[in-house]
Amino acid sequence: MRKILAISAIATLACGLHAADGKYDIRSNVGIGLGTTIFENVGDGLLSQICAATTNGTSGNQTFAITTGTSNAKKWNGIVMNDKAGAFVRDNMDVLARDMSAGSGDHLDALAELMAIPAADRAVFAASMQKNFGVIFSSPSVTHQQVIENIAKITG
Amino acid sequence: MRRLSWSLIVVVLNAVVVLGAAESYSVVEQADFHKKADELKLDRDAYWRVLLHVVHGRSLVDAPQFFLAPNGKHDPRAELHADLDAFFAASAASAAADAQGTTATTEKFLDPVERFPARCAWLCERLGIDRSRLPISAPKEFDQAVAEFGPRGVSLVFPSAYMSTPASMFGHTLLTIHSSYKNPLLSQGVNYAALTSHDNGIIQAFKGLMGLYPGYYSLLPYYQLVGEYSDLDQRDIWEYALNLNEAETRLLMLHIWELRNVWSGYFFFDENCSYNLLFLLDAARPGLDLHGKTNSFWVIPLDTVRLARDAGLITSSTFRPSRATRVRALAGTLSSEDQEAAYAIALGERACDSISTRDPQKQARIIDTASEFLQSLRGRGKVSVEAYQVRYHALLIARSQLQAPQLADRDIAAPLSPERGHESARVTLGGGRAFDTNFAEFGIRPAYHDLSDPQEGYQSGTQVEFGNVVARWWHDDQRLSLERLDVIRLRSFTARDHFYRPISYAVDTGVTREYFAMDDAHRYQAYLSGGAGACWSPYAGALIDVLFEADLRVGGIDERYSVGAGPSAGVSLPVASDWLLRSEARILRQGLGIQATNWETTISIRWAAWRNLAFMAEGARRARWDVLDTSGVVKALYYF
Repeated sequence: MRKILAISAIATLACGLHAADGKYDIRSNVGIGLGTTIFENVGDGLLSQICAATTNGTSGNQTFAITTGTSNAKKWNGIVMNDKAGAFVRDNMDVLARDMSAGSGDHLDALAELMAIPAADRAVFAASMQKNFGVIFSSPSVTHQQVIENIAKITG
Repeated sequence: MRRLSWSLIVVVLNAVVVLGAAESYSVVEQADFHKKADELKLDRDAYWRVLLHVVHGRSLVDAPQFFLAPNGKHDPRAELHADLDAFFAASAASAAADAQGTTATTEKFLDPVERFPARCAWLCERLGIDRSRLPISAPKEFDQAVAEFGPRGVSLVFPSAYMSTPASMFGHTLLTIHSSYKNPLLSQGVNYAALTSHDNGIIQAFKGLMGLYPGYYSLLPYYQLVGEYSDLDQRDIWEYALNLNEAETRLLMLHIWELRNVWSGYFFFDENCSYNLLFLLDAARPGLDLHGKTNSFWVIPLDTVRLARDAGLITSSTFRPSRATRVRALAGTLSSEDQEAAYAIALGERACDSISTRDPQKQARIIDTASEFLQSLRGRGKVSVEAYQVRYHALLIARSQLQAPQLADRDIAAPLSPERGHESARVTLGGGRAFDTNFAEFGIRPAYHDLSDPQEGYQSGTQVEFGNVVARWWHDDQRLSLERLDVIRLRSFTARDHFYRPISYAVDTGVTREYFAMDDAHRYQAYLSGGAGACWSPYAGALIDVLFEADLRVGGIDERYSVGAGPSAGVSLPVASDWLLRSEARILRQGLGIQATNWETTISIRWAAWRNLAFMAEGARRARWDVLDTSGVVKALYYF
């Protein structure tokens, strides 16, 4: 993938907060599932949170990249599933799942925009996601890769 | 053969045209520009100082690669001339690599124009340099990225206080740059934060306060930042749209480009996230000078939002509720029985089909509450990934069968926007009576908010005070005394409900003036006290808190220390929109050192007359070091 500004992410673990890192690669074999991109707090303890507080280093992720991500676009029957859409699915699996199951939501709208679905068609897209939820999120341990492919197949 | 020779001629002609068109500046012309820069005193120009982050004559930036001159950090003029030289002499091949502790992948190094596009643009414009006559006329990668990204505006984002963490009570600020995408989640977040390593909590706190961490600017998708703050549960986010136009947004991005991998010492109090963002806004709109308007000692994130507001930058605000706020809002639409069902379902103690007899709208709402709360449990590590996946998936399958809209963020009632609350510093003036003597009282507190201050714009049950000082002039003795100096006084009284059962706590430390009847002596004592307990909220803004406290005191008479513990309780009752009644009672049995049973009951009533002016009357009955006393005070509180 052509890197516009690829200063690589210096992934750090600040106080055990796990930052979602790395580059989304449409060819990647590593699957991310539900519940794995949620930032796990070390606990509500005072001390464990002081670091994140005094440094505001919540992400610890020193990425410096303008994610343009229109490259590596694949088209399945006219729907654009590009790197940015894929990264969005990977990073927002849980919220997207919830939006899809309800047939509406901010994150689902954002995905539709990334997939270049025209505004007039988004309601249909959302309804289709809800109707096919069981196909898209085919099992509790479904990975983001599979979700992306399932979405593309359904919308195709 | 003929075709080949024609092509050759065309190629040669093109080369001549190309080489001839951009005739570079001669050495003499370059020297003239240097001279002109000095004549115009460009190194003293406010904008040059913004681009170099110069405060008090030297740059705040510490990374060596931010400067082309060896002493660039301390000499803005030397830096200007070194940059000019570099722009005149630039060539991609001669540029040196960035090697300051980064693990940058192997991209070709960036020439000076690519590294410092804002400086180049500004210097060329002020000096009248024709950029097409420079060896490198434009920052290609920047232009390309910006063309694809399509920046059209900027928002200032304020994730509000996270009450379980003392130091994050001031909140945080970041910027988002809106691209050609309409959905705000798809904008680009700009964040300044310290790069912490694996240090433990106390060390991190210390290093953050002392400036021992490097702070970096990072650009990352805003939805990632939203996800983090949402997953941290309690941080509501306020997004303030700014009126920067496309040209100004581009200027901001030009300057951000210069800050890649550039670090400066992160200081929690003054050179923190909020302060360092101000340079970006100042770069966007020349003359704005927000960073110059901060006070020299500390920068509170919310105050920078106020600076932006006072400069006329803010056009609107949007409330993005945290996960906890969403759960509470969802639960608020359910009956108590349904709330219990949602809770049990989230914990896996009940299955979804146990609610299938309810109407679809209700079912959907219960499931939404349960699934949102389940995510919250996962975020706090209270449920394993495997259990979470199975439960969450089952919930959503059930949800997908129900046609009912979700509760949208915009349907959740937003509290008053925080920057519209009272200002951060406070002075008080009043008078009263204690120990059978009249007194006048004067107080000053640099920051920030206590339980009795006007509550609007602040989270209920939160208190963060730094440096509270109270002095009294005693009429009978005709003397002025320092009554107390509280270094820190914190309260986090977060109400427990069906879903969240946070621990409420209090931490205080400082110095107080005490009267010891045993010796008829006034003495100063340093104290550290803390308490933990629970809090409930019977109605909006009301609090009932019960804590168990411990108290350590150093100084006084005899043994010169005292340790005690005991229960305390408090009630806050807002009445109408401007009045607050608060009452507290506590007993501390000081059992070690100087022994006494110190108890007190206080009652106060506060009227918020204007946003930054309030009045308070307070009465107290105290038994302290064997002296029983009834006292009262009336005062005016002014916030600025």
